[in-house]
Amino acid sequence: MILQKCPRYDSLDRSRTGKGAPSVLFNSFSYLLFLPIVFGIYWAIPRRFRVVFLVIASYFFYMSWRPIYGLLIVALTAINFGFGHMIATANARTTKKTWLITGLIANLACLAYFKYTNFMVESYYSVRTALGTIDLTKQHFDILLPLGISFFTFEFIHYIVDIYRGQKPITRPLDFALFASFFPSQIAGPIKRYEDFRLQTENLPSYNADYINAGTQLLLQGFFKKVALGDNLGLIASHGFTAYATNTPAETWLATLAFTFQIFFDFSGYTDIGRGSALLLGFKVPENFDIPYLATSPTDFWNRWHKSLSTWLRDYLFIPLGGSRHGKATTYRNLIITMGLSGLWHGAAWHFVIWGLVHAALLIISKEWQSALDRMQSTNHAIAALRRSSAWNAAAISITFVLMVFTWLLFRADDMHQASRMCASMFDLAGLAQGMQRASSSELILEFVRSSLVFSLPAYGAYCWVKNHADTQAILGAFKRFWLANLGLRIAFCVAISIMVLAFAPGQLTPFIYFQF
Amino acid sequence: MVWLVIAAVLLEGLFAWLAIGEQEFLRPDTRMGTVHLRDKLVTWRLEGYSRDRLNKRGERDIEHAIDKSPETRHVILLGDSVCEALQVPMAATYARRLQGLLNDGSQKWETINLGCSGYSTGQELLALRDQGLQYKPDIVALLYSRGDSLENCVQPQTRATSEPRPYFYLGNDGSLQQDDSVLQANRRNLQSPAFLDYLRTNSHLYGVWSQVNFNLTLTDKIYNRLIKNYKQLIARFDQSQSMTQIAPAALQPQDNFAVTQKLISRFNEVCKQNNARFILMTFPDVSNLDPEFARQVPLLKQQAAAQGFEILDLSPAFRAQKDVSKMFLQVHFSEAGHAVVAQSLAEQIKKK
Repeated sequence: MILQKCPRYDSLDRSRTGKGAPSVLFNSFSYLLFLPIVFGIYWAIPRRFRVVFLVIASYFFYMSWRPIYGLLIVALTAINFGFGHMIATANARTTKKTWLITGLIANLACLAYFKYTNFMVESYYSVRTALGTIDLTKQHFDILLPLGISFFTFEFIHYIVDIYRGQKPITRPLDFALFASFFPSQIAGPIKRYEDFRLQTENLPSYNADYINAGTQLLLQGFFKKVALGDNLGLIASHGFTAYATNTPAETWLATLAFTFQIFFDFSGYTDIGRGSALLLGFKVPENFDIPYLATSPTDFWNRWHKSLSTWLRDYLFIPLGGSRHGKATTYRNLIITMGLSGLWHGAAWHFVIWGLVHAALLIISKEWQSALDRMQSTNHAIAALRRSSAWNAAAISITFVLMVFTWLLFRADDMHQASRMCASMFDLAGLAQGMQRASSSELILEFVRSSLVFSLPAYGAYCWVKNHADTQAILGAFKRFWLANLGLRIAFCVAISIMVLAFAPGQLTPFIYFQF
Repeated sequence: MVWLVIAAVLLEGLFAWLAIGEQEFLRPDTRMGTVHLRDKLVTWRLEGYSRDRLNKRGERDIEHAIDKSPETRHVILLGDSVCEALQVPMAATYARRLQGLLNDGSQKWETINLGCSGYSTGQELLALRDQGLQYKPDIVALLYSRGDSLENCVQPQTRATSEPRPYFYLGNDGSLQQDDSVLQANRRNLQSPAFLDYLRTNSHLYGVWSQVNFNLTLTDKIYNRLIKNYKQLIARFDQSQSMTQIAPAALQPQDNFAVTQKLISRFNEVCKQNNARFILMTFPDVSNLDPEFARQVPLLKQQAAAQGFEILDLSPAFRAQKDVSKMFLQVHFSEAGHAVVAQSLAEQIKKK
């Protein structure tokens, strides 16, 4: 697969994931062959063979990238299945704990080796350089990062920890193998919870037209978000971030906003395609996004963005550290550790850690601010009314959004120098006004205006508004009856959306941003 | 079915508004391999951006009258995609800029751009004969780019998969000969039905399909394999390949550059026969990436000196620019690059 020539992701991907993503990428022609074949065979074969068939299909999906790394999944699956069994059957608490710790070390060591070896080595050399002891024999290890390792490792850790906490393990190896390798969520999440998944493998549903309709809708939605929106915004962001040194403030804002929405459409589009694919097979996979840019605070943002990761961090890192049970200082300490490690999970580089710590700072400030408001509110009822007002809500959403835009700038920039320079440019309000006046001569702005985004962004916005606005549901009710009664209309609509997705696709196939994690 | 038709109509309207699916600009041709569509609005986004209409003769230029008044001078510009310049608006191409630079005196100049993507030197020679000479040119300027010499001949081992176009070879007596065997072998594919030409010219949905097909062929291994297998299956039922007559000399391995030099000599002869100046421009070699091209340019200069035609090496003009990288987009000239070419060519023309 040819990766888009995006300087940052190209360098990351080529050094860490090798020469490409899976041949059966979600937004590829190959997947459009793969999914219908899997769908057709799955529903045609007897129920008792469906789990093993999905395991085979999932391994085919993963191994279309690097066949040898299928062995990694097999090995980790077997090891964690074994650890789960040993934890569940051990009598003594200490024995359970020993198995748990061994399992955690095994999983984290695997993740650390593949993802963080070069990061640790480079950090070591940076420290030595800073201390004045320069070593000319700096090592770099050519380690290929297995796709999705961050996701399936977290699923394994969740599994053995929950069994340690008293949950029942999965008894059928094939069910566990499917949990570990399920192709709709294997590469980039959502991070599944095994209890929910086990219920589905043990009670495979029958063919359900509602699932097919919902799955198809999610697939179309996902492809539209990923290809028509995310990929085109990615081009704007890429060009803008590459030329950051010469951009006007208006162009810097455009590039950063483009990335802010690119990462959302890219990731949520991928999730939609995964969830849609799973629904076509009768499986429900957790939602991962809940209109995150309408969050009213940084805390609210993390309740809406990549929910499966934030709940995992809460359950398996923040709470085991003590959560918020031991006073404010400890709570904030735990928050800093959790978000710092969250940053490190996103990328093996220090500016990702800084990104995580910035989010920790925002969460702490947000909590302090909410506490202060609560105290003021107890003596001043006007504040309560103000906080309930739509103006307050709008202000909260706007401020949170702007804060998130700046954090994404930090996330996307190649280094702190670029991030700080772009940040400074964004605060240059005089320059911003001048830049807006000269917008017609800005190549980046012209690129945006000439793209299909001028249609697809408002169209998607209108779709979201109609879907989420209660007033439209009554109108939709009448239309929905007509819609469901008219197969020809539904087919034509699906064909039309598919053609639009193809038409709006930029020239080159682009991988999903979260593949690098 | 009705809903599909309604959807198609709505999509055509939407794509027309957004200028999507307008990148089609070529159609197959039994004589040239490919030629421009006529009177076709082309929106180009793959590299750079432009939105202009190919004229009624299929030139990437404004409409030109064939006949010229006594005081008018015609300059014919030939080349491949670099000359055609879809990457910049028509007004910014070196063809259009050159006309402005030349029209500063008493004489009236008209520049006519006959550049076409993918054309070899051989195709450019045929374009001069078929289209260019009817304008009675006073000057013929040919842009010679990197890789052009590889497109003029077909080597025996690659004949079966070669691009359908006229090729050239040196006969046993060293004379330049035209080899249309690859065109004939692909005759069925090159005979474009009228309705397909209509779709290419007018349908945005067709344009979208064509673009998707092109992208998938480049990026998706499985799609590419399926298409190749399909074409091989069709070819098994196509007898024209086995019936194609190929001259024995054409089956000999050819020296690409020697053939190219012969083609350039032919250009010079044609121009002399038609009382036109011939100027050969060489693509600016600013990054020394192509040792073969770097070897060819001095040899072309020697040829120019020996045969009495003009040669304009664009490299010095480009190297003199402050930021050479701004002269190019990805592969083709930027608007700034076109300005440099126009200026250099204008100065060359005004020397005499």
